[in-house]
Amino acid sequence: MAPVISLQGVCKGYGDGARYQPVIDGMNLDIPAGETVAVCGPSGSGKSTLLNLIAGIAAVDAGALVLRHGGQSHALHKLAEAQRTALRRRLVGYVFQLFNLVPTLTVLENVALPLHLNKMEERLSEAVRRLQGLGLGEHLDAFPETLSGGEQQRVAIARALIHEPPIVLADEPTGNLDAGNSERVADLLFTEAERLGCVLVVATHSPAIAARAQRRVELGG
Amino acid sequence: MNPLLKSALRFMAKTPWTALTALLGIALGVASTVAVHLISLAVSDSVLTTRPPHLRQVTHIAEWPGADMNSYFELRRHWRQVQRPQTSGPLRTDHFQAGRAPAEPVEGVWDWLREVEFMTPIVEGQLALNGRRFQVVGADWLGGAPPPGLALTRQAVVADSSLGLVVNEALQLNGERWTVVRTVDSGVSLGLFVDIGDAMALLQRSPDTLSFVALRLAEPGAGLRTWLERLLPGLSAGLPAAGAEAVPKLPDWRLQPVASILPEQQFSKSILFNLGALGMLALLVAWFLIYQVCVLWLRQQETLLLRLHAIGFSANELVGGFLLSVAALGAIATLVGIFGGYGLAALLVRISTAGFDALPAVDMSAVVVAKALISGLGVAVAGAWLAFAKRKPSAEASSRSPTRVLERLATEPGIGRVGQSRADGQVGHTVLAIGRSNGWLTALGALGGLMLRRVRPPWLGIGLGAILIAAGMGLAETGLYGGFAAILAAGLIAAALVAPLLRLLRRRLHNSGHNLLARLAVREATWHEGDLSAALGALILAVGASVGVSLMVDSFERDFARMLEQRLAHETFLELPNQDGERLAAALRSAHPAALVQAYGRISTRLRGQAVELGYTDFSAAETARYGYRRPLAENEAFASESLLVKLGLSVGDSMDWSPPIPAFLAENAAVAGESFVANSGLAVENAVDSGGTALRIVHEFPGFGETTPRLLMNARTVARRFGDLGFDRIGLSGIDMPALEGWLQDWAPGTRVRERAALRSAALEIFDRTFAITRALAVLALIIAVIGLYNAMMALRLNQKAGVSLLRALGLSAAEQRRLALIRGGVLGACAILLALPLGLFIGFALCDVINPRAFGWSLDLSISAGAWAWPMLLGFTAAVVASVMPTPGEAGGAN
Ligand SMILES: Nc1ncnc2c1ncn2[C@@H]1O[C@H](COP(=O)(O)OP(=O)(O)O)[C@@H](O)[C@H]1O
Ligand SMILES: [Mg+2]
Repeated sequence: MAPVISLQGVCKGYGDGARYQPVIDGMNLDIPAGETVAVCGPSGSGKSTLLNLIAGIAAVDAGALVLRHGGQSHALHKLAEAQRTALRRRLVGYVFQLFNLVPTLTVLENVALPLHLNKMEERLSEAVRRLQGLGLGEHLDAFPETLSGGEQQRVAIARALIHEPPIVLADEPTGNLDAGNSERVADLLFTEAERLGCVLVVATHSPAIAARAQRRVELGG
Repeated sequence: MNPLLKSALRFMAKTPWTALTALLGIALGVASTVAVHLISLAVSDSVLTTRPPHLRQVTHIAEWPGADMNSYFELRRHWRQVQRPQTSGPLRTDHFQAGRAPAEPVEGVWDWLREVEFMTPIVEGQLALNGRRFQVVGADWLGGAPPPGLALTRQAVVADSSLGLVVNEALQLNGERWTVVRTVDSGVSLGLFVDIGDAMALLQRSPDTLSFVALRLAEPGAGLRTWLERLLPGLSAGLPAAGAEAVPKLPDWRLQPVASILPEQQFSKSILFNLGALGMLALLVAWFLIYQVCVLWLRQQETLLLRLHAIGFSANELVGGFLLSVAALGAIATLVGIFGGYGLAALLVRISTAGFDALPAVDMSAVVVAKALISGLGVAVAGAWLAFAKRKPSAEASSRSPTRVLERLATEPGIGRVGQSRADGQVGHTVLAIGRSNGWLTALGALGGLMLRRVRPPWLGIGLGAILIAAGMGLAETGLYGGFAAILAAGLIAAALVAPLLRLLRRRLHNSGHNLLARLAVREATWHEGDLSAALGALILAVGASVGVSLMVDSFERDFARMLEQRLAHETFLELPNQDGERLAAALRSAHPAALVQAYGRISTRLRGQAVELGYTDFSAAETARYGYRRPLAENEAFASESLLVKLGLSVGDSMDWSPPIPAFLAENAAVAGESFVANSGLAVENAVDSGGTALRIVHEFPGFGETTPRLLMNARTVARRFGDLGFDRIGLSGIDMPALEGWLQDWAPGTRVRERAALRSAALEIFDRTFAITRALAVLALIIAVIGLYNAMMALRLNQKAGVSLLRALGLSAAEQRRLALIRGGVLGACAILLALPLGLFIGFALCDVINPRAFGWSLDLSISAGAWAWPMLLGFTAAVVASVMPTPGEAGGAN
């Protein structure tokens, strides 16, 4: 079966002309369906950049980046911003290290956002059930600022998965949490990904998390 | 409900302080717009309704030598023929050239008549009977001339209210009985409106002699005029008079705008125009503020927008949501502003009469609401667009890959990354990307970029502005528009110099200050020109305008007081109900030999088609000394007010032909003029006593501040030789004991009003103050708006630096040290504002005194640089900058968690 994500000779850098600094330089990578991948490397090695490329938030400078889903393949490197955005809302769930939730929307509303975007509002009851399952049932109508860091990350994960995307990206999802909470969040991320059978790409410093992934991609410093 | 909108509304509710200042700023801007419009509208309404009835629909007046009913009917015939050319033979001009050989028919000489919509003959003149004076106006009321409501039968008069007559009162005029059928506020003092035939009989004119023909010309720029007038009442006053080019090319003809004989209206419109121009300035400052608010909001929501974009909200949705939230705020603010503006207008109209006798009524109209919506809602949304668009450069928009440009921008110091964490840099990047991915936004961005992005260097714009200033100030033909364009250009140049100044300071002060904290503060002040220049520019504009206006008002007040000193040289003034001043003066002199008694009189007339007031008395050396002239006035010498010289294109030393140019009249009228009444009007002063070609020499110029009509002062003898003995209606007195005088007057001249110098003086000064109350209020309003704008900008900046501040706190900086930091930062910014606002204010003051006032009113002012005028606004501006810097930002205002 063709990989869900494939990168061929992908280059990405910042700056112009003489000041151009390559961050990712000719990267090749294929990730088949259901695989969990840890992206490791020191700060500034380009982990976030890679995730942004896969999500279509940033565009590649050179090379090919293709996402495949449901028998269709999408060549991100050929698509315009607007088309990449439309793909992202369907195919990708994203979890960040910080500022994950819209502070002015309640927990439930935050999780419902992807459903709204994908016109899947009928699954709202599913969102409620999922949050209750995460022990967040009392906080459905609470605003994010009243939640602890770990709780916020769990809501973020629920939001990333609610529309069952084939790809979940997590950028240092536990970077801001204590050990106990880190563990719970990582658990949640991996078990849910497994349950849904989606690709999970985690950028992380944590050896514990890296160890849980089926594959490890090392970015140079 | 759309989750984006829901989120935005909650964001507003959760950041009440930010929302409130934004709301207040927009509402104030809207309120000033609404107030200025309502005041102008009210005032211009009251101006229009006081237009004399016989000139109500008239745009021009036409005069020619020997104008009489015959030539008028000839003109009508031409008019009809020009409109139906097929029936016409060759048109002749010889009817209109008295005393000349019939001219060859000239091709096209009557073409201008095609523009005429109606015409009506007018006769006017003064009538003095039994010590009473009337200004008689005869129009063809019966012939359907305007206004239709004033149809007059024979021997019926409509009286101006200044005559004190009542309806049905009978008048004995020339041995006949006349009936007052109506009284009106016509704006013609002592006006008596009668049918044209009656007027000729009353004035004992040679049969059929006309004063002028009133016309309405189709105005080519009428559309623009109406539009401007609707946009801001009074704004069209700055335009040159329409139809000036349509002047018939016939010798001795004069066709001029009706305004030249309605100086009060011109005066009022000029006031309106000035008010409007100042209101525009307040509006401009408000727009700056609204824009600043949008930038602040965008700043606060950047992180959020980035995350939403990552989830999959498209650029259009995010921009739309942002615009929608700003629009919601704008709508509420507009509503508040409309009501606030209405209240403000009512208040200002009450405290300020702006030079008008009757209190104008403040009325709401659809245009006002539309204007408020545009400035509140429209500008808020446009400001939100710009705030997005400004985050990317315009130059590279087409040539490069968008994302590249955006990324480059995100790394460029000063735009997104200085003082920001990495996350923020990425936020900037994404917001840029969001802005960029929109076609229409890109176009708008290019425009906004041109306007607001720092062009390096901004010299091109500054050069253009300098040209505009030179043209507007130097060329009198550019009129009020030129003057105000120059002021506006200067203001924008000053605002545009903020960013370069901050950059310069940043370089110069880079390593100044031994104290590391002070150095940090200075850098913080000078580092963020992109964030602060709009707000600081608005503050400079407001402070500059405030300084300029204060300088002008203070200069005016000083000159005005000096003029009052001249005018009110006597202790007491008597106002007579008749023209018997001569007799009363003689009686006073014999009853009080030690007293100083001087009789004054005046007459309204027209010179070269301009309405002019002639003032006369015995100009002895003592009397002329009050005007700073050393000798007594000789026969045929006169003083002229500055505005008269400007309007007639004369200067001191010039002689003016003072002889009537209508030889045909003279023989017939010579006898008439010998009686004690006067008919005036016609081309120059007709009905002269002697027919010699004497010239009147202007020997001295005096300022005429606050006077609506140009004035000419001369000896009573000089006037009498032209007009006959007119009598005196005012007397100036010094050295007489008041109680004694009043008792004496009871017996001698009942009905005489006694006014004391002090009372007259304070009344004049009070009127002066009220006239400028609106002006001052608007300047203050602009200042307040600017201060709120700067506060918003500082808030944006400090929200940006939250991380930095917590770092400093983590490093052990005490609260006091942080406050000092903010104080220094505010001080540096305030100093920058003052550095640019002071020259701007001086320039505006100079322009108002030396360019706007002469062009609008015909008098120039000596710019006096009083400390109070510039110190207060400056202090206010500086304090505002410091306070905005020091004032606490709402703790949890940040939208990004
Ligand atoms: N918007 C940006 N503009 C310029 N350089 C950037 C930007 N984002 C990231 N970089 C640079 O790219 C490199 C990789 O950054 P990033 O992908 O965030 O690394 P990581 O997530 O591994 O810490 C760094 O050197 C960083 O300075
Ligand atoms: Mg990273």
